[in-house]
Amino acid sequence: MKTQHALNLAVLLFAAVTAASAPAEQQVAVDAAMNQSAFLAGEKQTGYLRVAMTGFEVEEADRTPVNVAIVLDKSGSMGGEKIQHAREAAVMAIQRLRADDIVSVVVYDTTVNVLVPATKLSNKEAVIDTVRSIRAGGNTALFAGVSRGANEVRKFHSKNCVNRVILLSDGLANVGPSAPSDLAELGQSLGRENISVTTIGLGLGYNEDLMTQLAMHSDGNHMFAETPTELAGVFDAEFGDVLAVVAQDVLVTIELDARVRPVRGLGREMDIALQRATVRLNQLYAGQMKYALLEVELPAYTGEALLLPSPTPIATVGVTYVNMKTQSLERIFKKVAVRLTAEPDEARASVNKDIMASAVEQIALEKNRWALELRDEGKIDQAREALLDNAQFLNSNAIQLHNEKLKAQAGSNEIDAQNLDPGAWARQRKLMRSNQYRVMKQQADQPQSRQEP
Amino acid sequence: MKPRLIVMLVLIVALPLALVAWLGARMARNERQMVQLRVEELLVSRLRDVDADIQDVLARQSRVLLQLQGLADRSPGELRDLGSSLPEVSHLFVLDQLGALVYPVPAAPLTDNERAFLERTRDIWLDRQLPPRGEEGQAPVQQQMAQQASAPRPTAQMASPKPGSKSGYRAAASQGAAVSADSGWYAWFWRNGVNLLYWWRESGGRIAGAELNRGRMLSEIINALPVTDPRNPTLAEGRIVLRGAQGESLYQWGLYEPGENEAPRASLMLSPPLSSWRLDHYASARMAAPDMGRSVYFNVFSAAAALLLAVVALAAYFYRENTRELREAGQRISFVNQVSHELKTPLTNIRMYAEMLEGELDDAEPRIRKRLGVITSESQRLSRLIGNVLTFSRKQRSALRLRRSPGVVDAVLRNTLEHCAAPLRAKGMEVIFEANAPHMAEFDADAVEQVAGNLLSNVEKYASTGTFVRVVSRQDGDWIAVSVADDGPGIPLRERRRVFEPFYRVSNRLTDGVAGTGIGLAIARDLARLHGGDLVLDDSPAGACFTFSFHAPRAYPEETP
Repeated sequence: MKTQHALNLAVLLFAAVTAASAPAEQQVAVDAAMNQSAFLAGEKQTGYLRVAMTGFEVEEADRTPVNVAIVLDKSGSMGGEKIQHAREAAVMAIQRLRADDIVSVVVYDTTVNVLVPATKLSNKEAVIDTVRSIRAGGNTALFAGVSRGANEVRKFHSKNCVNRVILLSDGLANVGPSAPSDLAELGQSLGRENISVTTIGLGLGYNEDLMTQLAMHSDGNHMFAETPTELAGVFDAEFGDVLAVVAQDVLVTIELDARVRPVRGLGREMDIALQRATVRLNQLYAGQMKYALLEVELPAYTGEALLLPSPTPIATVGVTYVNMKTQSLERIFKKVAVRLTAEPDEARASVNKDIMASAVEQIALEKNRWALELRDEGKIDQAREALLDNAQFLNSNAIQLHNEKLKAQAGSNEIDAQNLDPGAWARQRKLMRSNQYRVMKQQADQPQSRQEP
Repeated sequence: MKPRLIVMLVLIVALPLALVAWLGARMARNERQMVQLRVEELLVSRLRDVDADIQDVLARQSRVLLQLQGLADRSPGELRDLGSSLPEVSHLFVLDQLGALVYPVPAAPLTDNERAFLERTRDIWLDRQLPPRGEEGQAPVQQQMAQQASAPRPTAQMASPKPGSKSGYRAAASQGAAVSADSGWYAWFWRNGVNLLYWWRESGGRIAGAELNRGRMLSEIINALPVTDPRNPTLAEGRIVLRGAQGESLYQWGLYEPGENEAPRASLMLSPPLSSWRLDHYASARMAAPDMGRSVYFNVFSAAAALLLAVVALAAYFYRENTRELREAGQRISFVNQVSHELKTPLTNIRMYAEMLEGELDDAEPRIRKRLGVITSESQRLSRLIGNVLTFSRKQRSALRLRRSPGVVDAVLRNTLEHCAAPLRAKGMEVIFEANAPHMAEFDADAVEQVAGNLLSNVEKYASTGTFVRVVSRQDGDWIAVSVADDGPGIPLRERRRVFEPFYRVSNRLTDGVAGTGIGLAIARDLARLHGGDLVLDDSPAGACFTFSFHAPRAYPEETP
């Protein structure tokens, strides 16, 4: 299987490009552009290159079959209402699946048990009965639980399925590896196999760093359910995403023009080697826009560059993915170029507000993360100052760019700033991590409204 | 005799019982140790199986990686893409013929991943630890480890959790000797855990390899190990824990829940390259010490019980045998007692008339007097015998009483000697009486006469080979001592205490055939003790010397001047 995987990649990378044959409305919409269409010539400038991908809409009947492992924490702390809601949320999610979907259920406490081995969901009632029999007790062997969940998914692993592990935990991993980096490594490995891990943190006892790292490196979702009653909504949202996957194994390649220097990737993890930057996404969901953002340094175009008749090339962008509707590998190329101008006003007027907003939200995300680190070091005042600064930065950009999302994020930074004191911090940290995650991965908002304290 | 007998009986019972109990306990302990050893062996063999499963995972990994053969010919870009697409790999690397790194090239511009990879593997490349030097075949692991230990280079990132023991090592994979020189595992510590590299030789003497994704490797191992299914009875009584280099639990399975500080029943270090990892097997007491141990205890207990029964029966038998003689003697006395009562009155008459006759026949010819004397002395002997028997039976009934009355001890002794001297003289013995107790005292004259008579009678019976008998009386305040000594054969040392026991008769050639009841000395001592004194056998150079002492307060009648 692993060699096949390598082979697939080889095909992906080195084989002749398959011409995209599907009609446009059934293709991923790729929009690659700089934050300005015109740049001032004659001086070095920083620019942002965004590759935005939006999944096409698909009928419910045509949706991709899913292969999902539900990994439930049944440790002692899950007792009572928590396990009860978790069971019901899982049952509700299973109810949404079809008979040709594959589901497995893994439970863990100190040890791990595969409660329902991966199987086609032809006997839904039996699976639901088994899920309803779960009782809580014991420790938290989270790593092993995820391993087993992934193992079950792997049994029916297919490029034509949505392969996913959904992990619910309310506690600290205290049996087996427990460092966020350990889970990140596992997540990375699973991501490379196209298995995403969605992590749902329940209550205030889980390790949000570990849960976000695991989700981040496998490109799954991360959600924070503060109370057990929110679980139903959270599972619903997650399965909404799972059932809306339209493309998988997405590889974004940005080949920069020789004169353009890559600075850093913003948001998603990006591999940058010389003039080439690559970003991997495990999947795209119907109607959802995901993007990769690269900060670049434009040279001071002088002399003959100004004489070029056509727009100045910045980069060539390639997006390859497996179209789940057509089950074929598709590749879309975009050229990114800018005009050079001597007029500062023209350059200013050419700002792409949407891309600029993306850049602003990612920069603000970094600052928000930094503030969290400051708070972790006990520097409450500095963290508050950073968050308020950030809110101001977001607010002014929201006005300038006419962007409601930035405004909302400014509000959320202000709330963060108000909740740095020890009493509120545990909860706020989880909220911050899940908000950060949402911004970083452009994850859809959680459905239910959360009451602020 | 009684206390000694009891001590002996207790010893007879207790000693073998204790011996059996001790042997049994030893046996049971040995047995239990055996059983425990066997259980431990079983547990260890289970752990070996687990270790083999883990080795299989690594072997499978190495086979997958070996299919990447040809890495050295690829461009850095290709390697970068490949390295970031393989699920089980963290990073790839290529070395040239000299062991220098050609991918990733430290000098060239690096991606974040490559930089991080070089940072955590820096020591390997600086020391040129790959390929393993000076080996054509299998490298002895120990030597490699020693080599590692001798050159410790602690950097900020290199964790050395257990100093000295497991700093790092390389080892041939479990693939057989033929392959081992051309490929192998290399393990080193990074960030509190063991990291694995797999390397292989490529064309032109180059080396290529891959750093395993640590999380993925552990995940693969976990997936190869059993889950904990409550319906599966195989590990219902046990728990196996896979532990990392710092003893932290990596994965565990089995339904048994060990206690907080419970020690594992068996442990096993994993085979290289994961030899810093350990498997601990916990087990419930029931699994670790099966019923066998209990049955051993039952066997030992029942054996001891049976032995106890047998020994008690034996002791009871010996006790009965031992007391039968006494019982029979007692019965004899009881019979003789009744007869004696009947004999007493006629005997008194015979004696009285014989003595009267002796008085009346003053001038009769000596022959008649002599015959009369025999009648008197024999009837006296008989009444002494009867007196003994009656005293003894009174003693048995605890009805022995003294009747003290004023008198002179010497007079009583002289009277006694008068009766008893005749038979002694008849046997050629000289009777010497040294009378030194002339004062009036309160005492039981009958008792004193009986004791003295018994002692003299014994001399007549057992010391008639001697030449004399000396009776010495002494009065010392309220105390009176009378000693009766002879120069006969004496009493052997070991018999000295026992002569006072009733029905005991010193048995030797001299005494055999001599008639006796065996109660004379016993009665004499009882009477002496009753009288506040004692009867002892003194040490004497020849013959026997009994000293009879008793308490006799001085009496001062009015008429005494």
